[in-house]
Amino acid sequence: MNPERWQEVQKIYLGAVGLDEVARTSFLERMCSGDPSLKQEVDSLLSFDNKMEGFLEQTAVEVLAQMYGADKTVADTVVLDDFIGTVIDDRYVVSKFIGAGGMGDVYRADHRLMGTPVAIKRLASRFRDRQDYRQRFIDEARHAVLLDHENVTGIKDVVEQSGEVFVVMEFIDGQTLRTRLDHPFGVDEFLDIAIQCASALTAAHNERIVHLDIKPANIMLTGSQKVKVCDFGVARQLAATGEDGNNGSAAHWKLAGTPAYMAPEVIKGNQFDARADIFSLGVVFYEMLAGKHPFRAEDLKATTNRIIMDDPPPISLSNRKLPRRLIRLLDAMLAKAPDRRIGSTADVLRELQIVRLQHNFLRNTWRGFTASVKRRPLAWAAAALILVIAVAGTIYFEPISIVLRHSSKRMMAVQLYTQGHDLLNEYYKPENIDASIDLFDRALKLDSTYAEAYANLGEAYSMKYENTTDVKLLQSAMNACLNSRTYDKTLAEAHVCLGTVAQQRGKFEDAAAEYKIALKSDPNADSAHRGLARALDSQGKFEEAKEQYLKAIEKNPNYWASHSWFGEFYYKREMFDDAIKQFETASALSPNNGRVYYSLGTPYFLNGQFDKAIEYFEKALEKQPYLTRAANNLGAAYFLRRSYDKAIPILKDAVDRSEGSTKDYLEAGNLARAYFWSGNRKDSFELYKHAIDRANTHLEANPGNADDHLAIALYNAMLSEETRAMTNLEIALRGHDQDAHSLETAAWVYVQFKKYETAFESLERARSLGLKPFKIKADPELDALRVSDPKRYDKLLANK
Amino acid sequence: MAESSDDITKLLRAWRDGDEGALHLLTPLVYRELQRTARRYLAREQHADSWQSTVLVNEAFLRLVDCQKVDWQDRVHFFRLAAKKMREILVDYARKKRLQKMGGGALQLVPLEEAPQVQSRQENHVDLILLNSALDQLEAMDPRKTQIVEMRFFAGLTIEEIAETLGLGVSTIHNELRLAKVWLFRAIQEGKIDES
Repeated sequence: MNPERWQEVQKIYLGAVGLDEVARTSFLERMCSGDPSLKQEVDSLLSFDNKMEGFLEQTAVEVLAQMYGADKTVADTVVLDDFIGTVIDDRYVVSKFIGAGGMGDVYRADHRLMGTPVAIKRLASRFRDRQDYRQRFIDEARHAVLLDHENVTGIKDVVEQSGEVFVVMEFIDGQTLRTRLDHPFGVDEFLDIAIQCASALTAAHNERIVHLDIKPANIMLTGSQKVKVCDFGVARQLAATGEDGNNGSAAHWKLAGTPAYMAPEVIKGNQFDARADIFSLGVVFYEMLAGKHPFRAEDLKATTNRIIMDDPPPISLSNRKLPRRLIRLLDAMLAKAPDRRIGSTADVLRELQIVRLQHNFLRNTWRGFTASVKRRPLAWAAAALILVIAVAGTIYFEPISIVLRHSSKRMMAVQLYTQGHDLLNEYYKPENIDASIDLFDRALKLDSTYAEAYANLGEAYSMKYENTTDVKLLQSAMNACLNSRTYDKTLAEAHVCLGTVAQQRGKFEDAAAEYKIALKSDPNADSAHRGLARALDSQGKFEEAKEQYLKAIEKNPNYWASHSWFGEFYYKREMFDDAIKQFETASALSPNNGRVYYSLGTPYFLNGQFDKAIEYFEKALEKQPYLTRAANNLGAAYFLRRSYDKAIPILKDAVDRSEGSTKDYLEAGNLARAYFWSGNRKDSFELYKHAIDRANTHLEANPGNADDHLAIALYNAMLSEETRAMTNLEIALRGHDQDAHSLETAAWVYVQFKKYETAFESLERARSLGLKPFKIKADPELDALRVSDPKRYDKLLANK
Repeated sequence: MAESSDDITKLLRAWRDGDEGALHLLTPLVYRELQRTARRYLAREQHADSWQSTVLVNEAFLRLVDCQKVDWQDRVHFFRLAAKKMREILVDYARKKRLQKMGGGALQLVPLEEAPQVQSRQENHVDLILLNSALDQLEAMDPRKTQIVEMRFFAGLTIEEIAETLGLGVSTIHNELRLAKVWLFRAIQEGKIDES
């Protein structure tokens, strides 16, 4: 309930509680008119008002004293202080008791210097001097260490100190699933959490670790919806040879989990194995979807009886909107006999993923369908009937057991492909590109005719090529795109893929043609609009490109990349306000995306707002520390303030990190520039030479690239190689003599050879094309102009 | 580490003035004293009216600080901290007692007949562990009510003392407490709360 609603409930409750029945009824009707759920909430609270006599009338110590009497053993129970305030491992100051698990107590501790919290587990006092418990405590930690999984609370260390053993664990800042169970979950939210739980348990079971106390209170949710399964305290590792939990030594480890979530075989004290966790997880899943526990009864005995005897009430009574396949999965998890239960958490995980695929598929299809129906109602009526029959066929008639045992290669391939596709959408992280390549490769091993997977593989290679100079990747991309087209020549993705490769080869007309073919097969393909926009942009077709970007955004408004590309489009034209708007949208859609922050900083940088620029560049580096260009620009921002000492280490770092990226010569060139103006000519010249080599390598893959020629011209100029500099400059300006940036760089070259007249002309043209005065002022290369002709220089800077 | 009442008074003041580091040092000391106080109360033979004045945190406060040197503001801060800590101590105690009752805790399946929820529903005995979880939920929505329940139920402050400590009117505290109680009671009765 949100705070405003709660305020309202309270106000009405307090108004109603003192009234007699008649007055109360009319009061409630007046206050809650038109809001039945408000009335229901107040009624519900009022109905408890007269039942709670005595509740919280005594204080807690009174209650405890009545329950347990005068407690002569209280000294053993309220253990004095000996732990809070203790320093563990010279580092962690124990600050707070968090909770008690099966064998031990868990405390929060804070790192003395860094202030970061950890959780520390210690053996409960009654076990502390028993060697067998102590050994088991250590063993448990040792098993749990095997579990390096993002959804399992991690063990950091085991520390022995003053004869005691402490386990140092990751501190989870979040809520338990229990506190979130006040309302049923929607299918999307449920699947998100359920998949992470199943994934955690699958990892545990792979290590032969059974949790045995799965319940909502042991499932933590962090602020970012990440699941952390905790308290493997009851958990034990099954003997490597035995199959069950009841062999010899395990027998006396029988131990209490939480009865309301226990599997029937555990309650009855029978043999159990990892399938007990499946049942417990099934109860949790049921509770999440139904909003209530499937077996809850008036007391614990009745509850456990129901777990053993009764089937859960059909979940469709509580939640009508569940996919059939999910309902079947719940039934399969909650089977009483382990042999009839779904066989492993890996199977559960796979089923959940299939449910998610189908759920997303149906939703998207439905959206696309309703959109089309508006256009062509009659044709669709027939198609809809076929679709409904087909979907009903797969979902209603496919027995779960068949799918589980004979899960087709194709279905697995689809899953791998989907995962890869999701990763590729966040291609701003280079590691995602690599991971997606791996997933597509695996999907293609299962199904070598999978056209979509080939197309996405091609895209992934293209993106990798953009991050490196490896021309071979472009060839791999091309092969993948061609394969895709071979297996499905009408597939939009295949042509998008071919367009991307053509674009990267500088063949913009070919690229545009491929994207147009793609749009013919799928007019809704935002990727085709996006690619076409870029190809048109490269051909200088401003309005057409803009139109395509707008279409890409219209078709899929929530994909960050369209906004980001569109922003770059404006940015290149120095339409900074429009660019910033797009980048801001992109960063809201993709908040961990360092590249977008980098993009946001750059227009500020080019406006001479160095402080704001530095802020964004630093944010970019915080999200993606390896983001070379952000570091590079951060260095440049310092450089343009002419604080070379601050700039040089950053630029140096940028050079080290940029090794192998497409335009790594830019970083080398920048560092060379900083050395040059700080007075270190020797290092400067060496680096300029290196930068020229790198830029030439890039030119090989992409002959005629004006940026490369421009850079080479400048570097040669700084090395006083006049002939070479002028040759490259001429090529660079061919067709780009209306580009402010190129003209400005050209001016640097002219100044270097004391051609001040030409330099002035070049800059004057650049100014008329929009070059900002601050740039001229900030660049040390252009200082010589001020000396040569102060009047003309001032005029150049004057606003027009 | 500071031990004398003089030091504690200083820490309390430093915390009041916004020094979070002082709180780190102060908390274990307060906690320790509260545990001592709780122990004394829990070990005491029960007499008909001996629980009337169970103002636990008051007692701890008097023991810990130098009363000549503290002012009303220090007391307010102390009570806020102490009520929360007292809740931790008593809930912890309840948990451990229950474990003892379950047969030393670890090595046997809980005999279901003795399970805690069954017993705790008798005679309006509050299950402190369930109450604790319910309070966590209430806190997410309405932290002030949780604080008032902590002060009243766990720390044993009177309504008037709570009103004074929080700077609110007595009738406000009455209303807040009434709403908190009915909300918590319903949450526990409807069984939506699980011990955490």
